[in-house]
Amino acid sequence: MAFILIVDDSNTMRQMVQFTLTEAGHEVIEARDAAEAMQHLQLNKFDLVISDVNMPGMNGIDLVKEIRAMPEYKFTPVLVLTTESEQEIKQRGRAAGATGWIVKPFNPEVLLSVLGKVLG
Amino acid sequence: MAIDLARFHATFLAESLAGLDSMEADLLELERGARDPELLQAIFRTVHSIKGGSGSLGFDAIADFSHHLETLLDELRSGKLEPGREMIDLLLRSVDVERSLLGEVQNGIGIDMVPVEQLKNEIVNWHINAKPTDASSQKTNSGEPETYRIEFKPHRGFFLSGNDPIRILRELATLGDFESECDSRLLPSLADIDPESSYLSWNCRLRTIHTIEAVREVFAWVTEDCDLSIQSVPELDMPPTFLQEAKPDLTDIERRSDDRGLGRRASDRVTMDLANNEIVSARPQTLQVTAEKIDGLVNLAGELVITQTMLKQNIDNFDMSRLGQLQETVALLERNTRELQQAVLAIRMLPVSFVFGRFHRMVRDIGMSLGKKIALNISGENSELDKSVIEKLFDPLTHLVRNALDHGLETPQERMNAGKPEIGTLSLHAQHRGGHIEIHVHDDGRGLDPEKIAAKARALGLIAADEDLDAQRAQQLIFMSGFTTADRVSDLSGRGVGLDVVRENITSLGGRVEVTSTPGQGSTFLIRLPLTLAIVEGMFVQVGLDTFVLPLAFITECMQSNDSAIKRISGQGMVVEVRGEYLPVVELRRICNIADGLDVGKGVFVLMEADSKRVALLVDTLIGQDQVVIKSLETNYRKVDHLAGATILGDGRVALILDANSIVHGQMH
Repeated sequence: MAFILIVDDSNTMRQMVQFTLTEAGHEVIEARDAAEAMQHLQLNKFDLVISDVNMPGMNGIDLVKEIRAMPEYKFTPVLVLTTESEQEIKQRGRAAGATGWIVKPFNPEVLLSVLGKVLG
Repeated sequence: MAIDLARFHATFLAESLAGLDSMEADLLELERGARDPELLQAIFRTVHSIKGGSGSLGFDAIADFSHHLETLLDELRSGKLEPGREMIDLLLRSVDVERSLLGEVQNGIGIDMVPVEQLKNEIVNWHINAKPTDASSQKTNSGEPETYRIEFKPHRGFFLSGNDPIRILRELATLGDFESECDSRLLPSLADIDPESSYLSWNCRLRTIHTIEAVREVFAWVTEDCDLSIQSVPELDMPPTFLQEAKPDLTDIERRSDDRGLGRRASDRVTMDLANNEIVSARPQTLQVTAEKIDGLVNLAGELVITQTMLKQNIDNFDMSRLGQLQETVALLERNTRELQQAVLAIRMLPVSFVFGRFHRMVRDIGMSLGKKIALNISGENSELDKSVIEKLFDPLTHLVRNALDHGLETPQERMNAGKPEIGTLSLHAQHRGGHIEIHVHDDGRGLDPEKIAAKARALGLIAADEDLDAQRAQQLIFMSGFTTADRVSDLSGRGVGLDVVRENITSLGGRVEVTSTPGQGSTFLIRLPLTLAIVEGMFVQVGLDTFVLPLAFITECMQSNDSAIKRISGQGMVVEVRGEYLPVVELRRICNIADGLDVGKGVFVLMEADSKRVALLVDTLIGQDQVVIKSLETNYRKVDHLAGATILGDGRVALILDANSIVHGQMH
């Protein structure tokens, strides 16, 4: 079981990810934006961070940079949520230090299989 | 793991509909000339979220429409397209289509897809660089296994992205028959090792039924962090049977992940259909509450526990010397309870902006269709009131707004002829006053025409041909059923539904509606509503041994019963004369079948008014007035005529709350 932070301004997405991961036995904390995420990151040590890119305030790409700049998160897997057409965002995410991406839309099975790639 | 996606539907719908509301407001801002780039960003995010949510939940039609809309919005926010009037109009219509599509999910009733398709085509035509929606790439080849030689050399900083070569090798192993050989020649001596760097590389052989693209996909996240070579090599001497077992689970998942709504697999569709059926039968209502309100509640609950502990200590080892302490604690408990009650009620409170916000669009659309120039002013929209009241407020308010637009406000030409500014003003204002909320709907249009009203009243036989109509009476008349002075019936207000329905709606909420108007200068409708339907301000009265509660809002005055003022009309009961006016007498003891109870002439008359109809209700005595919490009779027993509910008195007895409307009307029929 892993300790996971999900950052997304969409309630639906957050709830889906949260529920799926909790059902799979993980512990999940939710944040609605980057600022909230940073608070959680400073108080906890997560095994994995999943973040949306399009958010009000700081976007997901800049959040990834912030996370990578924190010494305790140097090697922590960080995944960004993108859609298939957003090739550029995938590359920007990688350049910012993201481990990889999860392509939206996804169903719970797909989400868990992608997680298998980072929580092996 | 099977997860029922239907559990996310309510959240998705609530969030998407709220998003569309603010998107609409933002679009109208843009139309008014706002150039804040954050507006377009917010609009984009809304559609992006709807697309993501609908795609994941399998609402393909919504996902498909949102995808096209998103592409268009992306070009808008990057400045490739301009948000001109035509564009805004297109986007507003898209909001309507999204709403109808969501409504289809919500109600489970199919909608006409033709307008959806038409609008989608319109959107596509706008795209400058319309990209085709990605067709899913074929992940498996014809089924013949192939062998690949893979050279995988992670760069030194490979770990810094959170990736790990071992996980990639494990994933490769799930694709088929896999062998790997680790090259550790670059590994330095232990003393020189930097534990954060990657020194190893691998040579692998994979025999799989998947295509080379699928194999490459495994490395998608790390293409820039490694040297990679994947080559198809001639068949090696391996037993083919082994490959047939190549992990069906994962291939299945991979294919699905690539489907993206275009050709969703049949198995998925079955799950979704089941889920859809479920939501039709039972859709839980959701309510968005600010975190502050919840925090406050938790805090109060904590205080209540502390008070309860204090109370327990007071009572254990109690003697009379501690009476003062006990009284203090009970007083504290009373305060805690009251605060908790207020905090709980506040959870259901929503700002009026939920209703007001919807009128921006309506005023714009109707104004355009009527050729009128109208500015909408909204103030006090942060005043809060109960969710149930808010929901029921929309219809009557819509009616008043449409009335003002259709009949009240003049065309620019008429206004200029009358020496008024060309642009008419419609104002919506909300404010708290006592335990009520007041909503003003004001327009600076032509106002009510007393001549027209008088003529209509004469035509309907409501007043005598030679009778004059004072302003107050005229304003009462317009709320009567069937009363309209409009010369022609438009498709807006004149739907055969008049102000009487507005009054009925408001009265059923325990409120009142009044109008004041000055010819040539405009009209103001004033709606007064209780803040909540859960609590009522009541007058306690007694008949025999029973206590009843009358909603204070319907009581105009109380007076001692006096035999000389009462007249009996054979076969029709009694009337009482009040300052020259005769009111029907209703005996509460008869309505409620109470054997004892004082006769007419000994008790007290409570004069009640509903919908301009008045009766005198006879009770034994008045006890006093207080706020009571309404408990529904229907949920606990069944609907009873003339009763609105029940409440529990301080001594634990039940008091019935009378339904003023039903009593007043019951008498009239």
